[in-house]
Amino acid sequence: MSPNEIYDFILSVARLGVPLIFAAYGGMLSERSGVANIALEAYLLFSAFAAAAATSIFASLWMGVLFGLLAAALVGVLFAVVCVYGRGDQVVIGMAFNLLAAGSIPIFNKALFSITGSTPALPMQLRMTEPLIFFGLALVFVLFLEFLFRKTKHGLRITACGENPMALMTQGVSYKKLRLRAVVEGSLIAGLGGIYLSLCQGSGYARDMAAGRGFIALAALILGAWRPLPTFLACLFFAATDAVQIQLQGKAIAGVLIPNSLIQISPYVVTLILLVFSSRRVLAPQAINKQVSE
Amino acid sequence: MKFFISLLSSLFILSLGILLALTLVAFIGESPLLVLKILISGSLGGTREIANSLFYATPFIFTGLSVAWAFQVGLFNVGAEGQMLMGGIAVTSLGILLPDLSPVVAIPLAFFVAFLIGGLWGAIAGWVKVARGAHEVLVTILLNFVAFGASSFFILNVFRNPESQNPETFEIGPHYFLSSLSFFDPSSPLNQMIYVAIFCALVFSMVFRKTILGFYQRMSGAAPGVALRSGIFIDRQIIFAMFISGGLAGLASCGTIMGYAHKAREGFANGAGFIGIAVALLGRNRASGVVLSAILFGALAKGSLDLDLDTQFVTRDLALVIQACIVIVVASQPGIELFYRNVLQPRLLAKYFTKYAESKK
Repeated sequence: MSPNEIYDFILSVARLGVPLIFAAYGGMLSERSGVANIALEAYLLFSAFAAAAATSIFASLWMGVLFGLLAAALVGVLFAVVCVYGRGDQVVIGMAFNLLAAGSIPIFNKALFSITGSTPALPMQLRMTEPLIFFGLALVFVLFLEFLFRKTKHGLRITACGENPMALMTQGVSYKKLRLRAVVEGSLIAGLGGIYLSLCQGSGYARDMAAGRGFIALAALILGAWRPLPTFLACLFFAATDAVQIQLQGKAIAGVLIPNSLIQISPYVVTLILLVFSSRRVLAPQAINKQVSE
Repeated sequence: MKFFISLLSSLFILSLGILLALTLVAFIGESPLLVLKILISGSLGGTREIANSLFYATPFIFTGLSVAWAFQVGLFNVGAEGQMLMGGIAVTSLGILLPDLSPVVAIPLAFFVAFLIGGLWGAIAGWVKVARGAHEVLVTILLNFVAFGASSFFILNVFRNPESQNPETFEIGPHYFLSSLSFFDPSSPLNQMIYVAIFCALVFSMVFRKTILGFYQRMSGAAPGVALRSGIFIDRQIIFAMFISGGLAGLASCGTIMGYAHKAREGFANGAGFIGIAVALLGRNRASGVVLSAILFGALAKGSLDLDLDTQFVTRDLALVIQACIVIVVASQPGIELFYRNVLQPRLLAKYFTKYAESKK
């Protein structure tokens, strides 16, 4: 590989890594507060759709960003309320939110633009053309989250809430309110990933554009042991797998053309293999997906 | 009596879920009543519609039983979709590679292969959970993506029928065909597979009611500590549960492939695996409940097909929204019960009793 190719490869890893990093950080805030979050896919899809729809309706990027964040926050609030007050299995509820995203976005899309598949393609001036700004933001978030969880009252309380909510209650802090707050903050961060997907990486919303990134982000979160820097590195690793996979599409390896359908599954296979070879059950927040008795 | 109480509460949850979904319909400016009317007339409007609804319900019974079996053991199998795809690929490959097999052997062998391959795909998740401690939900979701890729590889690259315009495989041998049931409507795709589905539901019910196996399975999920101290190998029970769960999901593909299409088309699972989650939850993980709610979701799937054409904004995706709402309501039941017990009931009692006391004055 020439230096130029290496540079391009690094750029594409950064580009592909951004949505994973934001989604994983969204999940991190929620999971460290004790709310298992498998609805990251729904966060990404809703915010990507809202951002693209608002941008094309108001013809303004800032409205797009605003509505993307609003949509993510709305989904986050709903998810948090159902999880905290519904007291059900958070994984089941998360799957329901993913279903909700898959079912309701086409309906909203048809109501707004008369087609179900995608929002109208955005013209060049209504797209964000600098993916590295988002990557820089992701880097800032690594430092910020490390600082949050180590040095601030809020961060320490979130960790306590995920490990032992009763201990937090003896301090006079409501674990419910804290979980609501942490989940919604997380959804805002994950919303940035959705905005990036539709306004920067793509040219509008396309059906199922998250393509399982929410789940891969969750795997990265587990591999990164729910800590900011390791999770960041795990996301970059998955992004690199994805970049290699895209490079390999349509190319013959040792004279054999491998079908795209097989190459496209390689990131998922790599994720699975990594999960198999790293048993990290012990590191999970202790109170995750457990109900506090009342 | 117990059955009727759970039926009533399921119906209540169902109507709450549909109500939530119809709120969304009203929100985007479409008449909820019109949507409800289309859903009902499209699924129950005539013998043809009913037969079609039952055809749609057949795979849902299997995937519902699949998810319910895993739930009985405390596992959440989100991978029924992938297991169904793997089972379907296996059946199609068998039917294409051995088209002249004797009819006595062909159909049982096809069921066996679908069950085995789907089951092994599910058992992977069980093994990873037991041996490596990875959560089964994440593993089965990732396995779904792998199964999507593998199935399109088989359909587009290995067995693709070059004469067809659509992405689909060659036709399977005629000895594998399941005959269609004509007493409803001769033109409907409803076929014998629904009998197999009912049979599996009966076996499911027997296993968990009458056998020691069902008892061990349930105990490993509900009280792993007790199970361990009674000498039950929980690890084996979990892998076995995921195997049976995957096998049932694998069988779900047979109705369409062997009874109607006679080939595999790309995306033939069509979300049935995910619908299985809602079916199992609404059916409270019991065989009778799963069959009833599968029929209901079959009707919903059939009825929602007409929404694309007959309404302005609402599409068939509404079926997904209704499922999501039902799952949310079912899962939130502990919170709703707590709210009723701690907040609503005391208030109602206070109101009733003060009124009662005042009327006596």
